[in-house]
Amino acid sequence: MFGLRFVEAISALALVASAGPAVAVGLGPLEKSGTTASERKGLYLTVGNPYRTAHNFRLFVEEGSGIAPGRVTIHPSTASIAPSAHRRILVIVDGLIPGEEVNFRLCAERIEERRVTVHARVCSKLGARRLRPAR
Amino acid sequence: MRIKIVGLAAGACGAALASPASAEPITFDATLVATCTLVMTDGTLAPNSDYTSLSSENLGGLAASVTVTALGANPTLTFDAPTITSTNDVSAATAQIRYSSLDGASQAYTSSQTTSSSSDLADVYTVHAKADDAGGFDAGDYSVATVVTCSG
Repeated sequence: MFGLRFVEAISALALVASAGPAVAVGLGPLEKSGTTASERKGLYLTVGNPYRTAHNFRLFVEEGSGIAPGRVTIHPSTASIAPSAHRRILVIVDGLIPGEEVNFRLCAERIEERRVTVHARVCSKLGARRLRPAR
Repeated sequence: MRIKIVGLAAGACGAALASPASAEPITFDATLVATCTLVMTDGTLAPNSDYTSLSSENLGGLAASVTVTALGANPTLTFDAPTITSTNDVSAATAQIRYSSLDGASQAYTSSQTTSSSSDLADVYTVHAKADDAGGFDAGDYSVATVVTCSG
């Protein structure tokens, strides 16, 4: 088997993956929470593209982080951001019942157009609490 | 009598000028939010002499780098368990990564998820990857990947 591989030595150059350009993502704040008297709570985050060319980013609720992704609306959930620019993102938590508090993680990552060795992701801890009605 | 009244008025006016009319502080406010920025550079895998190992530390290989810039917080970096993918069968292969940082973080080769705390404003991680298969790798394309997550 090793002999066969030796014959294939030239084509085996494909084994060597080429080093690609850097990928990058920035997100803040890393932690944010708020209260609301209604069933909805909005939180603002900022996604940054520290890279030198424009890239597409996506934002998503991390699975199993404390809330059903269907209860969270992200505006926009994908964004094309210019180099060294930032984009404000509105995250809306819906369906809060009186006294309910939810905590979850919302992550941002670049939409990769090819396979990368190290995939960058930044996550914020978000919280929303609905006040109980006054007695 | 007139002189007396004028004198009293002048005295009151002088007293008012001597004491501060009102003390109003001048305030400069700022709200700092914690942010984290990751910049990655991909690495390169190269085979060893008998093709039983693909590693960024073999001749021709190159480490990946992760530059972390954190403002207002000491974030945690999570390195997911690495995976190996290929058009060939890689079910017998084991992928591992190791890393070290300028700030002193160090992790030996592992196939599990690991975490590292960054306490400086900026830190640079050097990440090496490898995949081993005692039966050898066939010619083809291989990729070892991990996800690095920065969180507060």
